Amino acid sequence: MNNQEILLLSASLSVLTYSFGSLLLGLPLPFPSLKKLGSTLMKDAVFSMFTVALSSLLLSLPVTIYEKISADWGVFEEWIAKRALILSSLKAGASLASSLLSKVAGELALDSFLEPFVKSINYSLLTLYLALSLSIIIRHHYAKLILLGILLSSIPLRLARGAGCYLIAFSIVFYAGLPLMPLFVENFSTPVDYPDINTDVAQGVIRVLDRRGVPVPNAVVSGYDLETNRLLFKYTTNALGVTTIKSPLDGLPVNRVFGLMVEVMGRQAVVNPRIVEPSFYKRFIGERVELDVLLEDVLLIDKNGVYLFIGSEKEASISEEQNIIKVYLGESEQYVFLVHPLTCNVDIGGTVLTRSVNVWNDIPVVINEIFVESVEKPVIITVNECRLQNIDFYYPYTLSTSLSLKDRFTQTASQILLNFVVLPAVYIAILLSITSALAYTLSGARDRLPVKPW
Amino acid sequence: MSNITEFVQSLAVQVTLVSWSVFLLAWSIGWMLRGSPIPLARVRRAGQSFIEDAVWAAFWLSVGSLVFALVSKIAQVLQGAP
Repeated sequence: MNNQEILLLSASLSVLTYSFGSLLLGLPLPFPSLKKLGSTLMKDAVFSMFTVALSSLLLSLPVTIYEKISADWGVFEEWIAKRALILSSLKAGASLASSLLSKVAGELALDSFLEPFVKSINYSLLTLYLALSLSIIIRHHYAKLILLGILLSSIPLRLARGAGCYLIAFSIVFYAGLPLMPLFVENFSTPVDYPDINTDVAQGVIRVLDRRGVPVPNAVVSGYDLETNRLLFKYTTNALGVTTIKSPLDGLPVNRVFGLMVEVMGRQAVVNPRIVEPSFYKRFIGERVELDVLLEDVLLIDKNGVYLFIGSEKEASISEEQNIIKVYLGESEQYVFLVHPLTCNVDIGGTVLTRSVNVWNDIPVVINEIFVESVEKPVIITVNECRLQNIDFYYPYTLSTSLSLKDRFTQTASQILLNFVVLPAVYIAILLSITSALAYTLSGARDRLPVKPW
Repeated sequence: MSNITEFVQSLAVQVTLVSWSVFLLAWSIGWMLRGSPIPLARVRRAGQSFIEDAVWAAFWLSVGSLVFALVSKIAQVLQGAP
């Protein structure tokens, strides 16, 4: 049924109402209320005919108001799309984080703080999409709604006059008012600080090996962002030369390229690889990764913290008897550095040029500069006694930098709920109350049948 | 779906016809009551009111199309249409 037909039907209904009213008026029955009903019906018919005749004014009214208050559907839809995009990506991140979390931390952690967050996003998305659907209906079918309202209000005996006038008022108010929702929400909303969800984490360790492939303990391994030079993580190797992970949420970057730096007793070593790509990882079941890092200029003398820094060109060999270690270097006339903490008692058989003590993170470290004359003459190192205080640098690359802060998630969830559920709902409630006021004005004071009890 | 419109229109025509017949009926009943040799004032008054209402109904029925034409004209003036 097209618009013209609807108008024709409404007009016919008005005529019907009119004839029916005059029939009641002329009935030879001695009931005054029946006569009154007849004349009321005739008045209603005139009213609805008036509405039908005014249809083009009613149809142009929403657009006129819309242009007068400079509302814009485009802005509205863009606003919805942007918010939906932010929320969707947040939800995807949270879902991924929760799936990773449930794998490592079980259901408890998942339920406790991620679930309300995800729920709030769901509700917000639902509200936004509802508003969007409403806007699409209003925007493209407001004319139909108004005509339907005219039709309903011209049904005889005021059977649907209230509903009809409500439809007309609804179309007018929502067509002009709904596009202004972003203005309302943005003005009254609190800024949301979205949590920084980092899901680019795999459970993983780095094994640090010296030149000969021996695991190096107490090495401090740091990862850097290549572009911003920001520190990503800092771990310390244990006695097996493997970085220790203290939380199941901590690990290594799995999808990014990063720079690697290894410090041994405060001295930076030449590492291979210097730039780590995701393909370098050895991958295991359960998304565990492992990375072997070779220190090209370091020889581990004693695992309690005695290291020899050599030139990285030629091979070196080590022979060990009791605690006497002989290091044969592959190249003559070079300077090597023996580094150990002050708490170690080390004798060196060879030419020690300088011996200096540096303090590295509260640990006094001895650096011996040794000159090696020839390949045949080894550097003889005797480690008498060695103790090392615990070295523990720990700056984890964790699943989310704010995941552990439950309060922050709850706060964000509440902010999201306020901004994208409560405020739009309040705005729509305001529009609805305006609508009912307008509908009341349109339909007249009384909606009920004008029949009095006899 | 124009059936509904046609149905409503035919219904309106029928109702109008019925209204005219009812007017004639009410008119005759009214005169009958008014002129009946019954010595009750109430009956005569009822007859009088029947006649009056029937005349009004007939009047509105006959000017019905005029009323609607007037409404359309006023609406056109309000909307500023030619």
